[in-house]
Amino acid sequence: MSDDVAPGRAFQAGGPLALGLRLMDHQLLGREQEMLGNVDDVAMEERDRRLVAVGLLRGPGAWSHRQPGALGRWGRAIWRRLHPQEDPHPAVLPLDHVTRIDSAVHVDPWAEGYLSATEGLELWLRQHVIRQIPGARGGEHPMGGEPPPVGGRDTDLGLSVDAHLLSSLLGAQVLAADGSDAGRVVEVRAVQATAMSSRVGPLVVTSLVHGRRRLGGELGYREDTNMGPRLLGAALRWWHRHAVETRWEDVSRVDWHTRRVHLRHTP
Amino acid sequence: MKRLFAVALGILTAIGGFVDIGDLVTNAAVGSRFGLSLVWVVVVGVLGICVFAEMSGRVAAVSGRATFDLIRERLGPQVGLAALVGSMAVTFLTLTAEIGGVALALELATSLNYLLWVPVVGVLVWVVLWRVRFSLLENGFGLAGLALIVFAVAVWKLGPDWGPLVSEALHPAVPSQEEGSTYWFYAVALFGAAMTPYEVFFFSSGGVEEKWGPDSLRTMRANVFIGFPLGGLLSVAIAAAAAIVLRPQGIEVTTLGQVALPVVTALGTLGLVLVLVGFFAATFGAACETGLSVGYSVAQYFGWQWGKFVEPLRAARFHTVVLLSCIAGVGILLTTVDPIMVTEYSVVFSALALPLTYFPILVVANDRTYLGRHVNGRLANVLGTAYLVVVVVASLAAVPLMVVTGAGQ
Repeated sequence: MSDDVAPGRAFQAGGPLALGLRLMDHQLLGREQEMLGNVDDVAMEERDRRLVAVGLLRGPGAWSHRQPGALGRWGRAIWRRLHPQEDPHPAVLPLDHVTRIDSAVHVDPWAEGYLSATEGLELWLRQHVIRQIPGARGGEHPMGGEPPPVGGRDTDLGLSVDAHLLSSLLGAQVLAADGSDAGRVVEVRAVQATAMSSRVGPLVVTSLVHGRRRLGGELGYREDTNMGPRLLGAALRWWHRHAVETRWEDVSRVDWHTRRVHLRHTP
Repeated sequence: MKRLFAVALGILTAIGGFVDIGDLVTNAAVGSRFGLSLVWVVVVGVLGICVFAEMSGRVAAVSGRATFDLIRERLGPQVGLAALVGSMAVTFLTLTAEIGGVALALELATSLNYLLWVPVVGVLVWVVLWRVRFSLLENGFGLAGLALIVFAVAVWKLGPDWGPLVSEALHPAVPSQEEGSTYWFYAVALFGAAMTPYEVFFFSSGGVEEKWGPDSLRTMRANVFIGFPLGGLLSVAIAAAAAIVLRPQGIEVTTLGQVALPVVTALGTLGLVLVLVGFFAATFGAACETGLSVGYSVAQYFGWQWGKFVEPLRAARFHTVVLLSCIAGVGILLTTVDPIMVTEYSVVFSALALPLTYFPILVVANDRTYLGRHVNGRLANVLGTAYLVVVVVASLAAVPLMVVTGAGQ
């Protein structure tokens, strides 16, 4: 396949990546296109004044966190009740194990083993329902049988106490230096901490896009101004005409608890 | 030669697989009440499904992402969940209607009450989904569904006065004995039946199942742009047959037997046999497609492994969803709810669920990081944008029209 035929990657080594558009809610794939869940959230850490995306969250624990009201509470409660651990936390897959991001998020063999061994519902249904049906083939396949035990499980990979979630930042209120409302966060852009092409690794946040309107922010029309259909693109750009991009250096601090981003200046 | 055969097979399958219980019932009902004055809606609907099926098939072939992946990633987990619940409800309702349709076809063939057939059909559908290879399933029922061409033969054999029929189709107007709101209610229902969301779920996921790549695009387009319109022609033939035979006698379609009546009138026993084979294949094939589509959409929303291209134990959640929907569909039918009524509601609710399905397809079909040089051309975008407006209007109008007309009574 020549380059003009091959669909482009979502980002090149060292290039910027829109976390909301290109990472969040995308399919996780193994080496042979095994489907390993969706990116339900992204874990972020503040490291000496920089905000760094460090890992991916997958599973009902992270998913229910992003659902509103009773649905989120119930989802979380059911997940906790059914989880084998006493006080479960969603596991974080370090971005070092992500090899490529295109229309899907590709992970390395270790992550593949880890993700497939921690799919509680799949494993339970496999053993208690599907295996009981005559003609259930696939048990000899590594992805169809009992998963091998995972080393360093959960305790190492649990969400650390000083970690934050991308879902808390997307939609957070942005306040200018004089306290005036500067809209809500629509998109978060980041670059690789170390430019390399073999894997993705931690992503350092470079800027926030914020504006008065959140609806329709994740569609990709700001990224690619030539993206069609023209009418739809024009309508969406008009809709987001007040959105601005602020460099991370101009962010004074993020109050994660109240979901507020304070800027150093007044745009 | 082999390639030509594959293209021909694909086209034939697309024709035979185009019609399902929704098309059968809605087209016959419309033909018997409105003649051919609503044929334009079938034309609009078929062109619409061609435009969006081609886009979703192209995205699947080039990027490997099926339709519900796109819905989740562009609309997010909350709106995506609303889309999932809506389209799953519609697809599940359609599955129920298709299982009922197979049972009704078997009742016509055997005179055994359809309720006795419902559990048998439910089990058969599940066994096929569990064991039969994807390509065999798609091609087998698609080819057998070609028996419905008997409707076109019947129209020709009945030798109607073509003048008024053609004029009615070309100059659509609300018939004097019907109200405007009823006319538009059936227009929305026909549109929903032609563009029902499960078709793109199934089409794009089927592309992944059959491991399409960018080199499959030509075959895929041939299936869509030749197969679907010819399948749509079958829909028109069903409406025309009903308009010729049922309308003069004032028969309103409330049973599957009435849908078959024009063929039996024109072609006798042979016609009956063929029409029953056609009914069975079309509804059984669509039951399989909708059953799989329920599994596809849930699995894609959550990112679970799905598909018949992996062994069942590797996709336990997917197969559990498929199994549960077959059981639940049978359960609903055993409450003795009328399958024809379920069908009528399923096509109207289809119209309601259209925008959340088709909007993300249009957006992603323009995304260069997914499709490279295979992004939408100008024609696809002009048609896609125009249809987006149409589906939003149909979606907004569906429920008010249903309430005002008492579901077309």
